[in-house]
Amino acid sequence: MTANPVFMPIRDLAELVRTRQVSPVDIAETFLGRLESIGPRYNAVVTVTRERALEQARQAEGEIALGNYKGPLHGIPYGAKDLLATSGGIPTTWGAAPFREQVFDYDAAVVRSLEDAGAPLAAKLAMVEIAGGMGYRQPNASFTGPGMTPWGKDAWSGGSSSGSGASVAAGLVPFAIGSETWGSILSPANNCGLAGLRPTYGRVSRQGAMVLSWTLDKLGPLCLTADDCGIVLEAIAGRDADDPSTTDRPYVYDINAWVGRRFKLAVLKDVTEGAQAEVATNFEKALRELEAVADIEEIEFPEMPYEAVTRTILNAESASAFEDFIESGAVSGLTAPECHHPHARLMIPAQDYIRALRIRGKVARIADEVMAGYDAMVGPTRAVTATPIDQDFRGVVAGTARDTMGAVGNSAGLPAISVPSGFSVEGLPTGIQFMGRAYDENRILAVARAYQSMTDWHEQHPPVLQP
Amino acid sequence: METNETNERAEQMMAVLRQRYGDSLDEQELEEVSEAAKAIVQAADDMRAVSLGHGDSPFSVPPYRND
Repeated sequence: MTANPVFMPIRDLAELVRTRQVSPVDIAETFLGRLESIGPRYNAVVTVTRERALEQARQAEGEIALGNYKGPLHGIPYGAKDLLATSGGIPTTWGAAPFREQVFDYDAAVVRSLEDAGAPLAAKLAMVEIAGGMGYRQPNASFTGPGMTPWGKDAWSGGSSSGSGASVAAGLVPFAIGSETWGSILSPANNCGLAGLRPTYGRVSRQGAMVLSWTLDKLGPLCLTADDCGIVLEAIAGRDADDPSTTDRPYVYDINAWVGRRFKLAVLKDVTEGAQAEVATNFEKALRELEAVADIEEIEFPEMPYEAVTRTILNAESASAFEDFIESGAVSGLTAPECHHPHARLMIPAQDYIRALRIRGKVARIADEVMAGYDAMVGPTRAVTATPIDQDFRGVVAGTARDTMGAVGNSAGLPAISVPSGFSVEGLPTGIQFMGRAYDENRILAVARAYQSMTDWHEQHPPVLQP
Repeated sequence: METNETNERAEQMMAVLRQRYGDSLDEQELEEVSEAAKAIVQAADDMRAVSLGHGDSPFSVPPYRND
């Protein structure tokens, strides 16, 4: 193998595979070696699926040799957040000690879709236990230890898709699948300096994925570039009778969509209020760069309890999904001590839950109306860079920073992508997010690609991990 | 904003929680649960400030888009 596949975007690597300049088996061996040798450094991996990956890579190599090239993911290995069911005796732990021996006899729909696309499964990746659904206030909330970003010693990778972020950023896999209920794809994308795409609710089947919140859970990719996110989304999107929330609207990634046009972007008033100074500085610099390709207007959402609505729904649904786990006391087997007491969530009255859902209906209409005049809403992905792994979030996160875009976007089921926007003095990444109307993934991907065409943050990788 | 009424409802919720789970949780754990109960009641109070009409139905999938 002449070209090194590590830190190579999917589109470039796929071309080498298609033209048989690199072997899928060699690619798999390279990444499996890194998963095994580097993965533990960042608490990024639960299970390396070496046997399965090599079998799938050999199959891909044979198919391509016979002229049966399936597309850009054929022979490109990936990692799956360990809440996606996998067959063949591979554990699916949900990041939680009480489930570390759990196995399923089927593959999640997303895993099947990627297998159909020819992508070998190389690893099950670490995550915050129960996707953070029992509550957590510091990074050491997984039986595999606190996830660490490859960008800083002892700094958090973000969560709950912690291993999905750290693995792509460390060059352990070309891409990974994560999940987001509220922030779990965008947060690791921010902390690990990656592109992370939260698709529209219903774009991607959750069949075989751990349920945290039926009406909020989404699955999506973490990649090196926005373009890669589009490639992966096309492979995993689609209607699935086993997940009734999935949409009939087809998704085809179009890299040529909106190319060369001028965008119209919205920025929430006071969106950097309470943010870390470097986050605000990098965001303002990004806005100035975007002015080359976009008109930018400041807007406001009407005053509504956005965070209370999303939090109430998440609390009520997660408590129901894990009612037996909580009631039986098994919850005390979790790693983070603050995760042991979610009992109050079981007491949320139906009256309050339904009120939250009714307000959510209004929120969805408000968001659509406000955003209809824009290609995307833009904001800092997180108010702070990666926090230390040994500190309570409440001690290091700015107290006045609100996550209105996260609360509205997840509540209304809107797509968003985060891409890197720079670094702090400590060398930790910051991120910028582009949020669109429902089903507008191609539009926000076009904006993110335009931004990435003017910047090189996505081309920088942790120096110690260069191949 | 936390009010006496909010605190009162949180205490009522906590009384039920103590009855149901008091045997399996120690005082420190119950204090954690109590903090969570206050946050839940506060969120409910914040939501009650939103005026809802008879026709405001719950959010449903697929996500809303007015094309």
